[in-house]
Amino acid sequence: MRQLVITLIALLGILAPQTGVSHALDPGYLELVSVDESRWRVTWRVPDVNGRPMPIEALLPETCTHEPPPFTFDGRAWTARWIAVCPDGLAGGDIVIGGLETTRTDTLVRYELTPGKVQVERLTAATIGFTIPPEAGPLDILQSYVGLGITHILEGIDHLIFVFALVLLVRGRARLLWAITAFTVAHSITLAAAALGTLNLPPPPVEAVIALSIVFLAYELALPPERRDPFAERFPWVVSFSFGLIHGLGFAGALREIGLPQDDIPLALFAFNAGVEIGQILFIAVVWAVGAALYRLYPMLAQHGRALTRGAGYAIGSLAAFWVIDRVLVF
Amino acid sequence: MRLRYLAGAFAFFLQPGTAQSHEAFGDLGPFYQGLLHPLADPAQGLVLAGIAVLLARQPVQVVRPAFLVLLLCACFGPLIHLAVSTPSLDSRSAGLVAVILGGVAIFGIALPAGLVAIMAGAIALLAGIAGDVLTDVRSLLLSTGGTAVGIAIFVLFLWAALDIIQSRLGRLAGAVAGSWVVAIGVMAAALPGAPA
Repeated sequence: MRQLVITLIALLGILAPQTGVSHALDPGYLELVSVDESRWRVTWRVPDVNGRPMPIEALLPETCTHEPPPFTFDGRAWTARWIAVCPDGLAGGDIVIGGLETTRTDTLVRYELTPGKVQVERLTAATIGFTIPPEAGPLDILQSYVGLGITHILEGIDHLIFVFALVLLVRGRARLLWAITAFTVAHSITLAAAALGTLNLPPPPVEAVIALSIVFLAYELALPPERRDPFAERFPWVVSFSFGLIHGLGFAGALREIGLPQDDIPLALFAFNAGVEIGQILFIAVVWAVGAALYRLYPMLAQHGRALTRGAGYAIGSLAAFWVIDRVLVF
Repeated sequence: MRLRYLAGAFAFFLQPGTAQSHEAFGDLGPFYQGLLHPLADPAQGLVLAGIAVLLARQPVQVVRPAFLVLLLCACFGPLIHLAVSTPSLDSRSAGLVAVILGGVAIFGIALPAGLVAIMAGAIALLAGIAGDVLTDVRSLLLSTGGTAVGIAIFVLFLWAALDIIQSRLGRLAGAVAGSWVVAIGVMAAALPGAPA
């Protein structure tokens, strides 16, 4: 027990302050909002590195004239806003993030060719620039949003821990498959509803309830199987469906930050959701494979399966409880 | 037939293209950079493949403690790299290490458990210092965690795959894998163009 407490404290010490914000999208962010045919309102948000803006620079098409003002720090990142004048428009021009190749961060570029027609590109150290197409094709949108969906789920430690807890909790592969499918269906529904503006809930309570859903699963995990809630035991898909509705609202919050192309909302939604699913399946596949390999190397683990599951329940529960408190304090 | 698929998949992973595989979904942050580093860095991947093949040729009772030592050392590698500014693992050194590990694996010599554990720990430290040095605390913690998990999973998967293959095809399969490691190690160490 003492060892368990020490392990949990160590785990919290390592994870707590960092993962509290780890879920937010923290790349560089360049936004060009069309004011009229030749002017764009530019927002350039740069991550903080040791109290200074990350040394990356937003380079707009050569035909644009603009003078970026100095950055201001908003407590989390450095932001500058200005007006760029591009008499020839943006189409056909290059947007490059100078210095991105020497960093480990992404930059999300959100731009409008004409008012209301939002397009998104994600630049990385490997691809630091792109030529603005006259209009993004369906394949570009599919590629962009699938990538964003995968990135979002793989960086969303809370969603991954929820899925991990489900993998540990639900016995039998067929039941797990149903539970995961129910989770998928549920978060697809709320993601679509929230992204289309049908369902509007403020993000802080949603994030807190997401953390609470993990506490619920962790509590179940920490109990001996015979004392677990018989309903959750018999119908895990109902539990995962219910919580999936909440997690979908969390995904929608991220998607709202990224933005949706006005002419291709259904396609972008589908692609983002597909990306989330691909990331989720990848994660489950890795968890299963690691579990199988570990059981092969240490068959004695099977004898301690109950204790390990309980230990995981305590660890997950402690972390999730911290998130609940942390997120409630944001209200 | 299964073996053919397996060989095809293995050949796919050995292609140079996988050097960029950690960028398949863009930059996922320092944790995933560390996690996928063995696939991205041929030097790191080679020494880890070498130790995995060597472990697969040892009795499982010897592998169990060695894997725990490997996991522990994988956590410390990036921190040592940061603290004492060790030189990164280059292709030539990695090639030489792989030749030794692969050579031992080919002959299937049963080594003392302590020696195997020391070798596993040393390789994990070597692989751990192959990553990039990050200066900010959060990135460093995430990268260290990712590196440790990446090294452990890479070795565990390769060991498990070889163990399964050996249980079906006999121990010769492990010796063949050892010879591949030696061959790739020789190329990495000796061919012109290998970075010094």
